[in-house]
Amino acid sequence: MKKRSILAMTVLACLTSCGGAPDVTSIPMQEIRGRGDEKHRLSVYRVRAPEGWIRRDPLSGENLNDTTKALCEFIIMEGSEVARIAIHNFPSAKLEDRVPVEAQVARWRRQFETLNAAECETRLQSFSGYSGLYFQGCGRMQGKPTMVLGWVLQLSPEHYLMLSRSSLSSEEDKVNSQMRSDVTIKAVGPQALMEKHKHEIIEFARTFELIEEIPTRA
Amino acid sequence: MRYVIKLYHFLGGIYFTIGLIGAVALFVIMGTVLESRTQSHLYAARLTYGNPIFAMLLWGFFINILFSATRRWPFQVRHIPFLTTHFGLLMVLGGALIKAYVGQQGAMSLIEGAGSDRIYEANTYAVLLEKKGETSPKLFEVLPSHWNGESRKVVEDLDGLELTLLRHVPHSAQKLRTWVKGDFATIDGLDPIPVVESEEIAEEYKPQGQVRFRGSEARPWDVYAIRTTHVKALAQKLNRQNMHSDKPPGLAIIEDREGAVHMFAFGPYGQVWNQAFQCDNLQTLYAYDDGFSGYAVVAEVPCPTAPNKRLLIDQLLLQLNQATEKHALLSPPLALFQKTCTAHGLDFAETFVAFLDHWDDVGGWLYPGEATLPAEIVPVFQHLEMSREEEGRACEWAVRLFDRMAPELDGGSHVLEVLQKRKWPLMGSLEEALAKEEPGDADKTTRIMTLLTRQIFSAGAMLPAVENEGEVLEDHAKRNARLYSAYLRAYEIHLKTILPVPIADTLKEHSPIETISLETSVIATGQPLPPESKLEDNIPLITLQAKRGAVKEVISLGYDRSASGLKWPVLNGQYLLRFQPKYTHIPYRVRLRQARQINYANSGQAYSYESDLIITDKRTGRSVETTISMNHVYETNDGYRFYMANITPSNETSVKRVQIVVNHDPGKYWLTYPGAIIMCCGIVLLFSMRPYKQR
Repeated sequence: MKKRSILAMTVLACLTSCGGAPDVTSIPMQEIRGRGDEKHRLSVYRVRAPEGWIRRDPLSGENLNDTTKALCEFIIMEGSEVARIAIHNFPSAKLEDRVPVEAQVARWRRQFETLNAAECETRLQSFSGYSGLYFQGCGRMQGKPTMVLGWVLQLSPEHYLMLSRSSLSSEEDKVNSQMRSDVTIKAVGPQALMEKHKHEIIEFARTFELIEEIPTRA
Repeated sequence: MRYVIKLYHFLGGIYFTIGLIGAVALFVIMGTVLESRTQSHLYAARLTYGNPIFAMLLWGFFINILFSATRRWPFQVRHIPFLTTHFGLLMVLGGALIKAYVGQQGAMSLIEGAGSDRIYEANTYAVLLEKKGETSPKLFEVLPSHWNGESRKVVEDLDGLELTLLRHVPHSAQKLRTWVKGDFATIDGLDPIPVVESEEIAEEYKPQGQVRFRGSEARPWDVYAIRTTHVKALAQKLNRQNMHSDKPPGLAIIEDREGAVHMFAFGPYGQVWNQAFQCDNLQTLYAYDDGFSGYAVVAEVPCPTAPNKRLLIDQLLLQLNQATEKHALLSPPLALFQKTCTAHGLDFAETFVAFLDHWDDVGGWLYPGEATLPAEIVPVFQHLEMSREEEGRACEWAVRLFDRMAPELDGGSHVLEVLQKRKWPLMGSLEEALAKEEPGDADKTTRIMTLLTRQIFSAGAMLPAVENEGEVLEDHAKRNARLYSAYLRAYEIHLKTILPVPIADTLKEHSPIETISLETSVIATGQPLPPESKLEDNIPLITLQAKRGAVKEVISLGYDRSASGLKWPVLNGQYLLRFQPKYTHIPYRVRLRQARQINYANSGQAYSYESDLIITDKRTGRSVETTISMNHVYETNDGYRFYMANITPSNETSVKRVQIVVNHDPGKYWLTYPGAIIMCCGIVLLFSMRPYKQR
């Protein structure tokens, strides 16, 4: 009897040791609408933001054709300190019209009054069908120690050209036009606060993606 | 009936079992030996595990186990362990047989941001056909019966289209051809240029043709098309051959023995441009009309239309050094300068060219007295002996004359007017030059000034000596520089006149670069090769005849194992074709969010590869987010398994592409696993049930 129990438990243990990869669905994705006036803005992107971040969308009725206005902002507040993470997109009609990613990074560098070169980093990034640059800069803005974490992302030429093909409907064309836009994600805040939430911000940026799958040719 | 019963008992008996086990063992041994010898699992599998005889052995086991169980009829309690074990075995075998016949195994290729529901089955062959204007391509399987049997129609009457297999080659080498196709170099818009073979580097190469790339008024280019092993040596030879002011620019299309094409452009002043076009890795490709109108490569060749000053000066320096080395006979001004440099340990060519460059920068017919000599030039002029009788006096008087004339010339008066006013005694010869002059022609004015200078030098013997006033050393150097410039002018030596080509008055440091855009079509070629013993390395080639109505075309297609390469147009661009593995659709759509390589700490060595996926069941619409990696697979409830196989590139330089192996065993959860459990239970019962215990 004892031997049977041991044998049965051994068999059970072997069976229960098989398993696959865990699912990752604890925090829901949040959708972000693209550019255009209020009536014509379509949900184009989605991102997973940590709990505790405050989301701020543009005011209702606001026309977002101006690319200096963010599509969406997330705010991290701790006491009186505030860090902002803004998402912009930059639509273009042709591949050649896209602004080089280095130009965006250079613009962010110029926003610093003084930039600490030792803590500055720029490196290549690619995820979710985008590739571009990641920028980290520390220095002084408006006299205060500030950190910027930024991502400048462009779809690969292959994806861009697929989304540039003429579609069956004008609605699809509008979506495709927004989908192929360049994207920037820029987080700015006091250096201490940013350092504390740096990992979270990086994880947040890397969950950024298009809602619709990018079409491919067979 | 008796024989049937005998057969029944034989098939359920021990001897059949032993025979089956022996046969399977032989197959396995053979498979192992073949695979180790050929390094080809596919080769071994085709002869052993994939052989129909092996499948028959599995059926033999099934029958043997079934009959050996049913032979126990009528069943009793003591048969329970035996029957349980055999039932479990039957379930496991049944699962294996179902997987063999209806299971799926293939690879899915995904790019970040995109998804797919297709799996490509390795070592299968099909032709993908895409019709212009239609979004869904069609797939037609190419079977061994197509190339072994009588029926060779791959596609039969698809809207009038027929595809017939003309030829099948088991192994080939595939290459993309660009500028050189066969024995001709091709540039769109031009006649084909024959390619010459050159294994040894010749003394001289004659161009295969001359082409004006920019219309009839443009400067012609010498065009070379050569096939050789020694690309670099040949390019150097052609560069030296074209490096002459009288030579037109050269364009060389050089193909090496591997089929790569190296395009070179040579300017007459030593400028070289080159671009390589590899036959299996083109950096940039142009697809016209999504490939329906073909593919092309473009070369932007810089056009050496305007000389670069720095380059020309370097050229001059080179020529002077060569002249010095060969002890060439120099003109008197140069000989004097060289003598002074040598006597004082200065480099003649460097110093002389530096003076000419500086003089050109500061301007003036003669070197201006108010200019500041560069430090490296001062020593030579401090020691320059301008004291030879005739030349010295001529230089002095030339300087004085031009000093006197300078205010009036600067005021806009013409040189001849000034000379006439001053009653120049040698106006006659100058007036001959006047007859050929057009008003305001600066070049001709320069010639008259040169002639005037020469007249002074020709009368040098008759001119009186000039008294030098006391001067400091610095003034002496400047004065000598000014006198020396007059000496040079007498021999028409000035930077603008001795550089290899006539150039504008203002030489620019960096001339604007114009480019010529050349284009050529890209075609694919396949060369049959002997098949490899490792079957996985073979790249088959098929030749198809495409026919629609009265239009026929023959096309050769190499096997595209990844099914991600170019599709080739056929029948005037109505269709695109690709020879690739067969694919099937699975009931799941897999989207790749991102893929990454995880390295060991402080190391570039890969520890793991991971992919974040969204897997959507197309039947229910339910999506699951998951991460698969090298040691973690994802499995659906109905037996689809997704394994991470490959990621490229492994870094973040560009959007990543992954390969995921998909495996589907339909009987796993209701046959194979339960059968294994039941079999285990039966084994436990066999050893624990009382009837089987030793008494």
